[in-house]
Amino acid sequence: MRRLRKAISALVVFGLVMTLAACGSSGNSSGSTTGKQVLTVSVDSSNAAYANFVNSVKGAFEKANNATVKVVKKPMFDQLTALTLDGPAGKAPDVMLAPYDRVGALGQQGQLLEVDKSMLNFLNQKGQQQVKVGKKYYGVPLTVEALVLFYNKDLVKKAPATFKDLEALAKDKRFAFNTEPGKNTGFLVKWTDFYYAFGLYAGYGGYVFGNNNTNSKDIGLNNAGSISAVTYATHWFKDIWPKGMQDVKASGNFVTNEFVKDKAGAVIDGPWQAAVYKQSKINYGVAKIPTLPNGKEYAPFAGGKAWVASAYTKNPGLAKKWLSYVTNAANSYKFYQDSNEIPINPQAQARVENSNDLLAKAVIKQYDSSIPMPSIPEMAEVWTTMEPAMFNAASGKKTPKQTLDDAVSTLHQTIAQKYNGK
Amino acid sequence: MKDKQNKKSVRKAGLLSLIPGLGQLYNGQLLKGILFLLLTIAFLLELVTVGIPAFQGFITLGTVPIRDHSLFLMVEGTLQIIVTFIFFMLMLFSISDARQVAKLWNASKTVNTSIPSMLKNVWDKGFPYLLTFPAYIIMIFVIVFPVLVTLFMAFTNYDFYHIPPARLINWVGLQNFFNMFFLSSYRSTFVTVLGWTIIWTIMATTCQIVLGIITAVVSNQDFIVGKRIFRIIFLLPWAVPAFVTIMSFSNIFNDSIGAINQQVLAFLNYIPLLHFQEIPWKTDPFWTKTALIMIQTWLGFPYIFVMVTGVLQSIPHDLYEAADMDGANFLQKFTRITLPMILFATAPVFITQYTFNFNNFSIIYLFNSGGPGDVGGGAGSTDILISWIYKLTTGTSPEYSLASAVTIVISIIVIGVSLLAFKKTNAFGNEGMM
Amino acid sequence: MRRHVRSQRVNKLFSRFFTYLFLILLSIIILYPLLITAESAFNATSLAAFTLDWHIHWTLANFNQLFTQTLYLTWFKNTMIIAIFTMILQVIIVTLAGYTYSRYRFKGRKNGLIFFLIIQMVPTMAALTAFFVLGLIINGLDQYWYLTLIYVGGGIPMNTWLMKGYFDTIPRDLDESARIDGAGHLRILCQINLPLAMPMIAVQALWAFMGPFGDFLLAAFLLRTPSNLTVAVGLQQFISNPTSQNVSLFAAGSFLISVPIVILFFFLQRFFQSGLTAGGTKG
Repeated sequence: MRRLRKAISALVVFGLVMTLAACGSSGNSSGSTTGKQVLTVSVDSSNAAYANFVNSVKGAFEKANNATVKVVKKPMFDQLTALTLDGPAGKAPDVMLAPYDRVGALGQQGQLLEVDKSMLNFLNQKGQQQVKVGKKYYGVPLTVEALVLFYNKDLVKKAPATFKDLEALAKDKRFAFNTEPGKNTGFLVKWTDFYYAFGLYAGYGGYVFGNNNTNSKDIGLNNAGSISAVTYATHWFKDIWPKGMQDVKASGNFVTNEFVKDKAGAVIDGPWQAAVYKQSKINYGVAKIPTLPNGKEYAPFAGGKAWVASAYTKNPGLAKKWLSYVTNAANSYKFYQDSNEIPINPQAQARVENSNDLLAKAVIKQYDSSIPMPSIPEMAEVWTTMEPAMFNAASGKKTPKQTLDDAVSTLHQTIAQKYNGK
Repeated sequence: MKDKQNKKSVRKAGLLSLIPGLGQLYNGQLLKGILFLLLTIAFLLELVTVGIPAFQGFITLGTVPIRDHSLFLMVEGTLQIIVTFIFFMLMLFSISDARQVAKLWNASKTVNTSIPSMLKNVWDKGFPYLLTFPAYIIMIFVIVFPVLVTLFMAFTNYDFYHIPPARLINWVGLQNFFNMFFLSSYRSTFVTVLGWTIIWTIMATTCQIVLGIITAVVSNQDFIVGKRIFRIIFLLPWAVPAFVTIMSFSNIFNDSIGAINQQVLAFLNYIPLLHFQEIPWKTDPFWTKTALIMIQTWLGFPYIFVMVTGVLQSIPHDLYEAADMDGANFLQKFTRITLPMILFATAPVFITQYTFNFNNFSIIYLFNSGGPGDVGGGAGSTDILISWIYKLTTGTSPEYSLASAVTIVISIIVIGVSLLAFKKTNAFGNEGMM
Repeated sequence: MRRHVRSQRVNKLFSRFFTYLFLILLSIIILYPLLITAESAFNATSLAAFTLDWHIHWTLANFNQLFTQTLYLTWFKNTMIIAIFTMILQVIIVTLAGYTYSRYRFKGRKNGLIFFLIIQMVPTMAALTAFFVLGLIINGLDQYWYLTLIYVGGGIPMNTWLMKGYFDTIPRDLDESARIDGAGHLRILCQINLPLAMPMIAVQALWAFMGPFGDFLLAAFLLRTPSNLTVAVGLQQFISNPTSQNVSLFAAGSFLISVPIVILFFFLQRFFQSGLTAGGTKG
């Protein structure tokens, strides 16, 4: 009983303290600066290679600029999401990595530090476009990434070069899908995902936005090219693949599952999947994605990561120096050695091409035929709207033309309502 | 024999208490008066140093980009409003208290002016307040405060073009609520989505409640061997984070290689007279909906099960014994004794379960992204209202203010319906027992 | 008469048979998908499982990696601290408040709680921002006490109602007779009502304890230092990036979350065994 009374009074006091604490604003004291400038670098915590890389190259930078580099670990996407609040609160890192498709939105919102075009002179037009929003640049590109073709060397002797080869693979009895007669898993790709399917659209002459992906009034996802692309995909969904491939959420896992269990001869996927295949002890080969039935190249989105600086950094000069420093030829090659991510820096890339890293070579080759993702904010609508479009066609709910017309008219409507006048 | 000196003017005591503490001093309650006065002074100090700038910031939402962070200003302003509100409550309390004490003086009743007697009075009369005070303070800051911020946000232009501090947020009045009626062009979609949202809410929640109650009642029987083990198994769907199990279910229900079609149905087909076709769980909206309801039942019933298991202990055994004497069977005992007792104690929790599922968009998103296919207007065929809204308004080009406005409108509807339900089930009305 | 007894015995057998059938079937329905999920956790490759398959390469490597190469144990310890404090605080507050609402009538009694119960139904999408700024002002970012308070606050309205409902079912004549015997507020609460409310207090304790283990969102926003994270947030890191997901590690870590919860439940079950009769007889 006495104990309870004590507990109650403690709670009451506690409540009061809480109120008073809420009233009195106690600003948190900022750490005192001791001569040396401090640069906080955030790296993704999911892969130890990132922190190792920064730790191994920071010494020279510290010496050259009389600064201290502090490394913090946080998942890349969480870090970018948190920037909006952390930045103004003075808790954000100065520099970090960001995938190209996030640079556009963040830059346009004023979260990222603008960099001088001169810092990007080592890149070609396409490389510069990855970090360009309007007329401004928001980071320095570091790596390239593109979908490639993986094939099982034990089952497929030579890398398929055309989609005809893939269709032949899909007639191979070894890949017949037992529980659904007549279906086959010789070649698989997650086309229910617009990121994977875009290469097909582009190869047939479709595009997202006009004027080099800057004019949101001109949407090319229901032009004749796009329609033939979806029609071709529908052929695979209806006549070849098991029904589970239409599963929007799980078809990615489906593809991987069949491939590592020797039930698929070839798949289109990102270079990041190589680690999974290696773990499963698959004897895989990598190649450029085969040419489409119309003779054109499969043209996927060009991905990769850039080093970016927070708009809230107290040392913009130092931050920019870091961006240039880590993306120079020597360091981006070092980064490749640590993380296996392929550098965009031409000199470093040339060194990679001369090595015998087949995956890297295939990715570099594929990157040449790839298209940078639109950096205008309207792109956000495309992902959500295009997701069900492929399913509608694949399941026969709508014809390819119907589904694309519907999707594009929704896009026009949403974009007009959401983005007009802003 | 009234001592003239002890006559107090009720009016005067009340008016003086406009500055909390003065009225109490006037009434001769020194400790209380000083305590209240100290609180008043603390508040005034806070108001002058922090409060007034906070109010100003709340009104302007900042004037210079980068230096002023509109969002922070809005949140700080909201906090200041809450603090001011709490002070007003203190003032009202002080006024009513001073008037009451003054009346006591006039009626020549004893008034507690000494410290021990005052404490005793607080202990006796204020006991319920003392016990609930901490709860109220925490709830104001944890529950009311974010709702207020959401509410205020609905009246601003906070979206991807106005991300502070690089750009300022402004008050735009009812603009978002007008914009919301752009949904009118999606009217047919809206009706479809709303229809499924209601079916989903009712089916999923009812199933999980029914299964939870049945499981609790069945596993509460005395004769069961290994009761503890069973109970722990029944807790598991809830103890393992839903995030990972839903992702797993997404695979398990795959039409072609998922466990349900490949293993469960195949196994059931061994039973004579049973024959199942493979079911298009992820490619047919009807079956995806069925799967979603089944999964939510699986995920949600342990919560009800644990609660009802607790409640069952409060049912006196003699009730059942009396029923046994009267020859009641199991079902009669359940519907006449068990169920009413369960509902009596837990009806409000059941209602909040319905509102939870109404807004339960993580399962919709994680299982099949609202698919398969769509019903037009950007809504997937299994999207519920909230997941559709989030698809339209968030993502990499978020429209926070519009989303807030929609949230507010939906909430008003949900609140209205639940209030009605509360009333109907008489969840608040068991005062008769007292 | 004899026949009646026999049919009763048959009935009893039947009801026992169906009871066990139900319990076993439900257990299978629960364990089956969990085993498939577990398969991912024990699989040598980081593949998400589709079916229950005993032929995979079973391994403990994922758990080994979790303990040696990540901060998992630290996260676990952090979560335990937060969960235990949340549990203690919430149980005290909710029990006291629920009791008050059931037994006392006072101004603002009914409307007060209804207000919070209703308000709490609003899905607050701005909550993260609001809590972040509040945390910034009162120096609560990256602090366990701040997170704990938010967890506690969120659970108060509904659990208080539940507690109140439970206290309502406890006969009031016990209080009355005690009061006549001269018992004060506290003695009526502690000696008469609290023991009778133990089953529901146990339920409350379990719920409050579980909260911090499952929260992916709030903790991710308010905790900043990697060594301060909770288990849920830490695990989230393994799957947050679609191009470098480690499903196995995530599944393994998620499974371990259920261990302390199951242990707690195991011990709390004691309170479910004894019925109302343990406390006192009804008048």
